[in-house]
Amino acid sequence: MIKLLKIEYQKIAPYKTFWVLFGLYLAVLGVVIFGTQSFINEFFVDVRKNSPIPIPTVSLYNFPDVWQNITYLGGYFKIFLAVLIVILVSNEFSFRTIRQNIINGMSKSEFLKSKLLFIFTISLASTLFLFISGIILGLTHTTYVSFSKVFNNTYFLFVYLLELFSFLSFAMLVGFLVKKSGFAIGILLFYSYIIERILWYKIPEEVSQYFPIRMIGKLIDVPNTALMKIFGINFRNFVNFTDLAIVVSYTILFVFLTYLLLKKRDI
Amino acid sequence: MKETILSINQLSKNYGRIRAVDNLSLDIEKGNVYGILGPNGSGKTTTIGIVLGVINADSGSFKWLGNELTNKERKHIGSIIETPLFYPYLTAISNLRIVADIKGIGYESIEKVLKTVDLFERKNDRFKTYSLGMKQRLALAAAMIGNPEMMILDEPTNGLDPQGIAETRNLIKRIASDGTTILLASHLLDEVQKVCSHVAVLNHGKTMFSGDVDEVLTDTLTIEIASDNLEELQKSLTDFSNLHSITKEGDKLVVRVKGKTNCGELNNFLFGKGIVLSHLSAKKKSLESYFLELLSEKND
Ligand SMILES: Nc1ncnc2c1ncn2[C@@H]1O[C@H](COP(=O)(O)OP(=O)(O)OP(=O)(O)O)[C@@H](O)[C@H]1O
Ligand SMILES: [Mg+2]
Repeated sequence: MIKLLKIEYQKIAPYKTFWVLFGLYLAVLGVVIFGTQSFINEFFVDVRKNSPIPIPTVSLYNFPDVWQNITYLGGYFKIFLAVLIVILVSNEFSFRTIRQNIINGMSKSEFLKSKLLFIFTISLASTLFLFISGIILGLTHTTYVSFSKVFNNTYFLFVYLLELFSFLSFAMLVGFLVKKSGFAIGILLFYSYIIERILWYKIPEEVSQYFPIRMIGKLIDVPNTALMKIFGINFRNFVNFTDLAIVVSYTILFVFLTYLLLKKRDI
Repeated sequence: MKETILSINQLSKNYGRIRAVDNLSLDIEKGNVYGILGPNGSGKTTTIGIVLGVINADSGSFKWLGNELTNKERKHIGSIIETPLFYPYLTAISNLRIVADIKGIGYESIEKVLKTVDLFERKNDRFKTYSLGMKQRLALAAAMIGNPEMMILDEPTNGLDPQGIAETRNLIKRIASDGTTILLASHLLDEVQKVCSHVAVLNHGKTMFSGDVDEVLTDTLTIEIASDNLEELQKSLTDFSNLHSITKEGDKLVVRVKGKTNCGELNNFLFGKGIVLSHLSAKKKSLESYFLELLSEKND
């Protein structure tokens, strides 16, 4: 396992495109996570002046709410990582290095395993980034810090990890299926943001609520901030176990389909 | 008898209507240098891809040392298929490290193989900055990493300059002389003649011929003969001292005779036995003419 990860690392270590995109991802993620609260509050400054009812200032960074808030925000940016994965997978096809890897003695399932390990590592890195951000933000914004307050809702981090891993497995499947990076990125974006969204409206809710991108996206629901409450909207501030099970099943399906593709097709 | 490393049994592969490999059978024995010789599109690369497990055959089977192919076998085979395949943004060294890591061996041999193919000076340059010939050399270096027991080389001299071609052929011979089994695919007769001990000639995915290179290339003369009684004729021929082989083709016998024997001698011999031939024609059919025929057939 370590060996496969090492091979993956060797493949990307000097690959500038990868590091630039990954750095950009972390930068954007950082700016958004650290900036959203003041952005919302600034935005409402004018509204607040003219509002008949008092609009509270939003605070996103209190323990333990910070975990749901930042993992929810972070979820929007997983597409960056998905694009990265698609590029890395389709590179293996366009350079035909997948062929050489296998000829040299990597089995097809090892090849798949190495990509999964890589996806997991990337997801873990992003989760760690959120963990550290959350700790910093929480400690600087929470008045009374206690151990349980800090760690109570950290399970959102694990759910976030699953959200990323699952979505990136989907991206990997698209990469294996389409092989050409530009085309694969197009399909990934088109499906995730357009096709499935259209289907949500065309197909009855009872069915469409179980679509993969939707399921993955709603693992962590919109946080209930004070702001939401004045609109009378109430979101889930917990994670639904059925959702988890469904997303895990989707992930297994993505990996299995990738495996089938790899097995059945000429490389 | 030598140990059979690879045994290919009635392999077939279609691409749509194109029959790329057609009922191909071939045995590869340990320590020999095999050439797969065939014009462009005759199925060499497809065959190699199948036995290395990256192309799925439609039917037929192949066995490595009597077993199904696993990555364990592949780790002991150094292979080049068609074109050099590397990560363009990685240096030669980094690319070879990945190869060594996949094979599960140390990095010690990397410098040596780079020196062997004359790329040591350029070892820290990225693959994409290499010329075609240098890329081909790097592929050869990668195939040599860890002294594999077998090498499968698909057109290894493609894109090399004359000096590079000569060096590569010598290198292959040297590796072979250490007992490494080699399977070399080429469309160049000359290359197979110079390097290989055995050859299989492929056309349209079929084996047209396979055997010992020396045997094929010894000056044999093929003579077609016929008489009223073919059986008697065939029997008498077995006494002929320079006989190489006899095959029956319709109402004629195709006789291959060795060395400098000519038609007259054969005729005299049979006449001495009281046989009068109703047909006699000589055809020189060395591997070369055979191969050229194949090529010209293709160009028709
Ligand atoms: N991926 C593919 N899709 C469709 N047809 C293919 C594919 N690969 C090979 N073929 C066809 O199969 C036949 C055999 O091709 P192959 O590459 O095995 O020939 P080759 O003997 O290696 O030729 P060359 O000397 O040009 O390398 C050809 O007719 C080719 O067009
Ligand atoms: Mg070829």
